[in-house]
Amino acid sequence: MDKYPEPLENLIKEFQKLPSIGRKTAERLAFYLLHQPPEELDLLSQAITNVKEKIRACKICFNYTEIEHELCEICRDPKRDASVVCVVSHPQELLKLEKTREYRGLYHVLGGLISPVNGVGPEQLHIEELLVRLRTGNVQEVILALDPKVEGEATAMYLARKIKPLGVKITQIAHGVPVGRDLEFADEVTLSRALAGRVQL
Amino acid sequence: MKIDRIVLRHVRNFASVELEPDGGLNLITGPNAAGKSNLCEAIYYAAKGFPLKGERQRDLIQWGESEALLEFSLSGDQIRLHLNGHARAKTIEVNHEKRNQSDVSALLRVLLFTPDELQIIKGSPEQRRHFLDRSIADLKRDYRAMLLEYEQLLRRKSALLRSERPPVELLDVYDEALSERGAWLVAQRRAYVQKLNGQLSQRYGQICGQEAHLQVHYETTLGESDDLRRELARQLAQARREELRRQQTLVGPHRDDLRFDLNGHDLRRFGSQGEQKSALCALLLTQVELHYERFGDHPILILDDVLSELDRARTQRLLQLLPQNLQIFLTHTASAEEELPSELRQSARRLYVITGGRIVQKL
Ligand SMILES: Nc1ncnc2c1ncn2[C@@H]1O[C@H](COP(=O)(O)OP(=O)(O)O)[C@@H](O)[C@H]1O
Ligand SMILES: [Mg+2]
Ligand SMILES: [Zn+2]
Repeated sequence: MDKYPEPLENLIKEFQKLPSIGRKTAERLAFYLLHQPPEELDLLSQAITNVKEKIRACKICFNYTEIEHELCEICRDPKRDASVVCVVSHPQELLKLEKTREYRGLYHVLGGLISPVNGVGPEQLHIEELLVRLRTGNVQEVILALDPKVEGEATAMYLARKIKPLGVKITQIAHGVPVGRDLEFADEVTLSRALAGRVQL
Repeated sequence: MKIDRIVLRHVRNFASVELEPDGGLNLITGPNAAGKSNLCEAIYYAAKGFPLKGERQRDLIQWGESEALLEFSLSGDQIRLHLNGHARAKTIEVNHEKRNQSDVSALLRVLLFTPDELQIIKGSPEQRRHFLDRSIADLKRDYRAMLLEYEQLLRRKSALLRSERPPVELLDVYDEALSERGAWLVAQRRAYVQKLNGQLSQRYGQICGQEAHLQVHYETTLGESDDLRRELARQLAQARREELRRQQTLVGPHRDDLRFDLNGHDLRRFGSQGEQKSALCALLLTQVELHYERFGDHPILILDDVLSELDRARTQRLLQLLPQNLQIFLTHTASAEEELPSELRQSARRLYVITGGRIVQKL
């Protein structure tokens, strides 16, 4: 026998498709599940099905929201300051900012950063929607909270060029900590000059 | 600055070696593929934080092993680098405390010359730029970071130029970011070349014993402009159509070059072999001196297999001209100790013979 029975093999294959999961980990997860009571497995498969079916993007800011709401929790909240919009690349970053409880304005999630090497141009992101929002609404200030590395910098500069003519104030959060430790044996000289908020907007 | 002790475990083809080099000339000899360059690389790597030829750091770990250890003692300071191949992690300690690479680089400063570096006269523009960049980065801490950013931006712009109908505003963005960094790089390069030119002729004279005028010309499209940033931005804007047509970046410091002029004539095209070699020696002496001026202390000089490029007589002259209190690691390929040039042997304060990853001290 050089393979497990098909259902088990299938499950392992599915796990392997997930980021940073290799064959060994996939096997471990599969065997773990095999030993769980059926109720537990139902909960898990429900959760997996729901994540796509019961969630959608907010119509205004593209943050995630439950399927029954057109707008996310933040956009629905009348106490939030609608004159300020903070631009982030992903919902994860939005959540990070929310956890600080410092910020009381609204958000706009771009869905990524401009990255020509990966074929991501402005039109693949929710940039046009942001501009429409700024043109039509009563937003007075846009805060860019994008990654300080080159992709984030280029995206911020691009946005600045597009937003400036609209007469909306535009600022950028200060980047204290250098990021980018994802390189193998990350070389810190690369990161030392942490591009710290040096873009003039 | 001088290394008192080196310990390498599972580094390249060294299972385990320990040496206590002299503060002057350390001559390292052995047959081909013995490990001479590996020893040089180990010192270089510790100083810089990255291996010589853009390899992955885990390539430094001896094949079949998962960890490597490099230890250096320098006038009272202990540097310890530990590489873990599985975790792809590197731990750096200075005097038994966790530190980062910049702390080590500040303690251990190295100037390295190999036949590759010595291609700067005969070689390609790319080799000359590379030499220039490395030399400046040795003296200026943020140079490498800035260069890497510039290169990252350049890659993105190239991809954009190759894409279908690149948005104009986005090209503008990259050009703006590139002209900011590009101008900075050009300014640094210009200043560095100026410093070289302050000494080159004199050093050349010392090497050959006759007066000559040796100058480096920094060839950049930016010319003599005062406002480099504006000028680069202007040239980028001007080149835009052509860049779009050729789907290629055409202006900026990544196209710069250097030209060496001896008495007003291009050394690459008109210089004799001997003149070119003397110019390399002059350059080397100048760099040692600039390093001293910058840090108030001599670097550690590594000369890996340079005799083939510089020849015996010039190497000897060079060694005489270099400061006495300079620690030098000089390698020379020889399958038997007797094959060593006698004058080199006589100048050496210590002699190491390497064979198959084992080091024996002979002097
Ligand atoms: N990670 C490694 N582990 C073991 N041996 C290595 C490793 N990397 C290179 N080598 C070996 O080191 C030898 C080259 O040593 P090198 O120092 O370049 O020789 P030389 O004395 O000619 O300068 C080669 O035989 C190569 O196979
Ligand atoms: Mg060698
Ligand atoms: Zn929303």
